[in-house]
Amino acid sequence: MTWSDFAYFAVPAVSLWLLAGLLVYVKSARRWSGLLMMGGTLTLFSFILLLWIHLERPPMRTMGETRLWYSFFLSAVGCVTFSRWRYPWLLTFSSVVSAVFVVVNLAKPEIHSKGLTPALQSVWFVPHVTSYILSYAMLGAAAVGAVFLLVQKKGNGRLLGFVDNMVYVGYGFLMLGLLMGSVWAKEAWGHYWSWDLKETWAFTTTSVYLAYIHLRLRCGKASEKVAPWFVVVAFLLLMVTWLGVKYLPSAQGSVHVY
Amino acid sequence: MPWSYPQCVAVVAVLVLGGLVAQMLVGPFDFGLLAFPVSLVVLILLLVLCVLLGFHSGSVRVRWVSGVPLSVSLLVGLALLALVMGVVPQTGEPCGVLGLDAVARSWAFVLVYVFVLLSLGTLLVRRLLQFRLCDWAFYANHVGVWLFLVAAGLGTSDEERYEMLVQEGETVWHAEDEKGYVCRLPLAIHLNDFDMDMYPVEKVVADRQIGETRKSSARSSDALRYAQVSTSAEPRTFLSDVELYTEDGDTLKSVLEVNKPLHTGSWMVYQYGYDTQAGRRSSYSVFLLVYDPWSAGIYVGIVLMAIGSVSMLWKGRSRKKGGACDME
Repeated sequence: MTWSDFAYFAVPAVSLWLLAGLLVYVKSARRWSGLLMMGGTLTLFSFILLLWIHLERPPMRTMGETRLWYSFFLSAVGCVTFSRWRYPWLLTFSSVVSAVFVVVNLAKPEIHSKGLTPALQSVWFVPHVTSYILSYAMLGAAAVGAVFLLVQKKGNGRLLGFVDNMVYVGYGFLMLGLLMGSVWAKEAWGHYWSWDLKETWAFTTTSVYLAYIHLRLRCGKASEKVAPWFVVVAFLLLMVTWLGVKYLPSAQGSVHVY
Repeated sequence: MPWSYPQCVAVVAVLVLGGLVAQMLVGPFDFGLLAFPVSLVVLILLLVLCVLLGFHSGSVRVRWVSGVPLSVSLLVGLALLALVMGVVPQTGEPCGVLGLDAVARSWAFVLVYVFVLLSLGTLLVRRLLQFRLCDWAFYANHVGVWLFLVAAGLGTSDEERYEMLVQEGETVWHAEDEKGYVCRLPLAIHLNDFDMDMYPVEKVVADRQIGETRKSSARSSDALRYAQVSTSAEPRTFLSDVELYTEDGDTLKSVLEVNKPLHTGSWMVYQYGYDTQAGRRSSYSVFLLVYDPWSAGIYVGIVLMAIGSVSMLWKGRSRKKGGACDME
């Protein structure tokens, strides 16, 4: 299976997701939406697996390949968290964003070289990238929850609890990705932390999430009214870390530009 | 708690501003001053200070130093400093007056970093004095971060890196340090053989209009727009069959590859380079030798933080029963 066959998987997956995202607002059809969402997720996952077999390496190297994983994990996280928390917007959000990334891949695949350079051939490669992409998906859901909190203005303890949980789980994956990257960096080029641009931005992002987690430990106005802003800002920083770093003037010489 | 967020933010701001003033007066922080044995003395002083403070957990000031508002303010301070680092291109040799082009070596960053270690260390002593097994995830996360930050910060000046070029069949005891000086090392490398493996060269079609390459297809018959080219040969692996000798007379045999360094004591030996002109016929191999006596602290810190992170995945945010923060 190659990228030229992507449309045969992409179109069904996107259709299933968008249908799920709509049906969740129709009372009589709501129970089907979870199943449709899962169907779309499995369709995309089968493409990823077939591509993996064809390339004879994990498809995690190019920007296009990481977007595949983001779509997959975001829709999977959407399924799981929807079944746990029953927020319709959560399903719609994850289905629409997953669909957008699949469409971006259809329009601009960004697939370059086929082989992995020696530095990328490591046992840490797959867990490092998957852990990060999973955390992006979780923290994306947290950011949407935080925007709702800020818009609603009146307190919503259940939603705040949801954002807390998403941040904790997302932060766990983020930290694991960072730690594995650090061990890998030590094995590959001799230092566990060298303030490479991507590392610097990851540090900023992690610090803001940590600030949120600590801010929420105590009660009061700061904990309930100000804290959601931290989640939104941290997610914007996270997106710069993932997608925007290569456009910065400070990116010259970074090992993470691809 | 007498001091809350406004005061904590002000304290962090004073730390940063004080750092900027120090930078203007004496230039960037000289990590060379921390070289062993000073690094060890600083570690002991830090520990003593944290223990002294931690034992006075009744004091309002100690509670403030190790409290939540200060930790949030310090984290935001660190985030802002790192943001500057991420936006302003960082240079090898700092030349800006405020040190914004080398934030990791600026006084502001060092001061905030030390305050983080102090606050976190004091909190750890306080919480260890009231040890509860059910707080294991808290201990894993916080001890891990503290160890990592201490070893990374103090280890900066004790780390040494050397590049060593070895011809096939030769044994070399000397290597070049980062400033280009040749030094004799406590270990030597004998290179038996250097070898590499290339990816197969592929025929592809280059599109002159959009500047991309792809595999040949029916659309590529327009000779003006498309050109048949071969991909450049890219290395799949390169490896060196070596013997490593130490001054104690030990011999280690190994095959060094990218991502597969050799570990001995506080030394790590890496496959680093080769004669790129000659490719697989290169008659020499270049190794990177890194000496880092603090790396044990780093690894223990990483393992502890990993355990703490897994607990966060597993538990999410589990609230204590009857927590006053529950709004429902």
